[in-house]
Amino acid sequence: MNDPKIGIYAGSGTSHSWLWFVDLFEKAGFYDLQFLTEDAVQNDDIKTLDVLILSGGDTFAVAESLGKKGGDNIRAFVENGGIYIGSCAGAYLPMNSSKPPLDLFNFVDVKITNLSKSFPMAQVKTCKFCTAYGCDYVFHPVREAVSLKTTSFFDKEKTVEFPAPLYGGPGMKARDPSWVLAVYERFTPKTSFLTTRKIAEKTLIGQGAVLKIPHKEGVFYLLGPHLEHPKFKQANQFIADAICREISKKHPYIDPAEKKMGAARQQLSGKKAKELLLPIRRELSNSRIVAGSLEFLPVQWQIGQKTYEPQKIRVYLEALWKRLNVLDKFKTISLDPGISEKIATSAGRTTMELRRIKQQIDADQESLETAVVIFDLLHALAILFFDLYFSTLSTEKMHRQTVKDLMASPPSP
Amino acid sequence: MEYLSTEKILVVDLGTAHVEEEEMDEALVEQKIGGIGITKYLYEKYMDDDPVVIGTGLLSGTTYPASASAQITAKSPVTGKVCHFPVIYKLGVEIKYCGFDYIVVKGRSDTPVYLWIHDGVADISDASDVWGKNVWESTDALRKFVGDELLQTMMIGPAGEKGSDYAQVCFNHWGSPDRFGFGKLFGAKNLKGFAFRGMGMIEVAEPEEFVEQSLELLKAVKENSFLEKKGLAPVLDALGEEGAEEWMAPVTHRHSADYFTPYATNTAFFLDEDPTLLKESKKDEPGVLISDIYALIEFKKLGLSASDAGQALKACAKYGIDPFAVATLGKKTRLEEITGSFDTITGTLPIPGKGLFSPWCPAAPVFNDFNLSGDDEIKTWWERRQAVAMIFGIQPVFALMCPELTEESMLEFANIGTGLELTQEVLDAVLDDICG
Repeated sequence: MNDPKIGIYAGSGTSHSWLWFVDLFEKAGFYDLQFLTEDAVQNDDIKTLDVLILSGGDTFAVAESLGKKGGDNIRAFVENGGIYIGSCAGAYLPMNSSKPPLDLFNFVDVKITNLSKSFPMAQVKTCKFCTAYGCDYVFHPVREAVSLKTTSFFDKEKTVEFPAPLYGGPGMKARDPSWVLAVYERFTPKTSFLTTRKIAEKTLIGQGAVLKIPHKEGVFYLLGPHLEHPKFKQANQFIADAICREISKKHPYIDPAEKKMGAARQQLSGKKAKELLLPIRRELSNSRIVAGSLEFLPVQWQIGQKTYEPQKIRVYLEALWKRLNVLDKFKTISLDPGISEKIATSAGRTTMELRRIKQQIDADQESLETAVVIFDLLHALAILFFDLYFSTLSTEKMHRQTVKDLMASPPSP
Repeated sequence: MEYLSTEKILVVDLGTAHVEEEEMDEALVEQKIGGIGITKYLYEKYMDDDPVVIGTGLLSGTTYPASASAQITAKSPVTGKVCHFPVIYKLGVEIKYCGFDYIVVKGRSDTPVYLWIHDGVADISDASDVWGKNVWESTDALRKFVGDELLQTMMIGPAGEKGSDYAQVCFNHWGSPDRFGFGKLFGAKNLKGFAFRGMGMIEVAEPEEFVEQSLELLKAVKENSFLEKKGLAPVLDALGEEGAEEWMAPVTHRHSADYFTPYATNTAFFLDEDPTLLKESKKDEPGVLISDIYALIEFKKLGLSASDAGQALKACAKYGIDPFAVATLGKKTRLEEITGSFDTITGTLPIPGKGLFSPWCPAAPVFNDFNLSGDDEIKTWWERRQAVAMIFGIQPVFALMCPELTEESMLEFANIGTGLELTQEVLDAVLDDICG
């Protein structure tokens, strides 16, 4: 099988959970990744993808950012055979809704089970319990690990039970029961209850946790829990397997020669590669240091419908830092001209804004505006960096494959 | 060098503003072990450029008890000898976590600079904003700029910039074991100092065994009855300075230990705040952290109250001047006279033995006698003990207290940690090279 071409939405409204998909795909060896902003979705950069990923975040903010054009392009993408995988906020997004701007994404007939007309009773007072959703409230009865069980529509022969964490994702009732691949089976000792157990059970247990909804030539996969979370290997495997199954059905064989990297891509090795990475290392380190110190401060920011703690900043930075150390060990770095300068500049701006927010917090000043800028910058920085990283990984993988093919082919007469 | 090492030596040329990295060679460790074994080697290698060499010990920053220290080696502008003094508090280990085992700074910059060392990156940064500022102001300014209060600094103050023979390289806000005028050397290089922050880790060859044996050793160490004591007062008492505890009591706020060191070798005085205060003070810095036993003794001998002695030590730390020199050579008895005398101190400080190690450290065993008898035996033992502590990165005052931290155990841990086979013969050869 050829690497599926996967687009991960990393634009406005997403939380850090898209980084978990990056981890998952890297472990699965899927290196043909494209990182998408709202502009890219609106410009229909998604039409050449096999898979489109919409991770967690603020559903309203994502819908707002993508707008009608983004919605139309996603619909066309799936209708033409694309695979949409939405997790948490990405699962809510394509469900039918009358509430603008969600009504731009009315693609699937699925009901949310954790929706209430009245403000529900919270057992634990937390801003993560409930969100206004039009005239109703989406409430989150539990957080952390829950146990899912596959249905006969996933595998007729056997069912499998595995854990996955729930951080605000939906329980789902499908119009067609055959869409349900896994249900919420039980709570686990690690489940944290935000409402009474009785309400939680009524809301979730036996309800759809993973849905596969055919839509013309394509398919929507909706994941209530974060199956992509890096600590849940079985759940990760579920996603990787689903992609492999869909791709093998869908793809004719593509000659790897056709998928070769653009000729304009630079290859740098040795001292030059090290020199190229140094400014990135410098600024990422500066950012990590100030981000680490922010974690000692009693602050959080409400951006749209989501609450952000300083710890989230370092989730981004550590995702890049660990991969920078991997890049350091590569003999050759493959990149588009100018991208390393862009990464260093972007990281430099991130450092500057992080230092600014630290000073604002120390001086008891309002810092929300700077926080918004910082999370936008982190998304942009991560997108640039992953482009460099995965192009290097892809090139390396292709190089290894070419060597393998050459070794396997019989010598010419 | 894969284990107990960052695998890197940093070489900074201030003259050309060029930074270079050398690979940390395992053969060098097999030959020189670490700490001052290697800083001396690097000093000799770059001798023509009048280098300052900072180095971590082989065990620095591990779970070996008191593995807190790094060290600085250079030619003292005062004694003219190549000598070493330890880097204490939490600063020694931060250097290793920053991604370099050793840092060589050679040459002289045309303009004031400081070195910002972080996560394997070394930046020669413009120090014009902090040049002329005292140690406290400089440290605060850099911490604010970087956005991290945990930033560790090694700075000079006005004394070093003016080229005083008693200029001290200070650590964060506090005084240091520098009795060799290294602050003057920094000043001559136009080097305001270093800022360190590292979030790195150290790999250990046999991590489980290393931690297990560390815990066993720590358990044995903790059987020492002296560990019921805390802070500087009992040390002064053990050195024969009677009445120290009562003298210090009115201003003593707390005691503080260096990284992973079972005895708190530092005492904090509250000078502008109630010393009995248990919650965090609202004042920016209401006191002073003291590690300098002999400076404290000298101020006491001059008849100062502990509060005035604390104020004098605080003023010295800000100015970046050796408080022992101020007390011994200045011989002023009033606080205002002391703080006004920094630019006029003259004279020669006695440096015991061969002048290799800082007399900041007590000149004899503390709390335990180590079965030593006679001055000569103590002097020989002291020099060897200092050298051993600074090869492996052991807090040098604690090394004088704790018989369980033997050369044999340090070698054993070094071997578990590195996977090498370092022997007593190698250590003896390194000690011969250092101590002569």
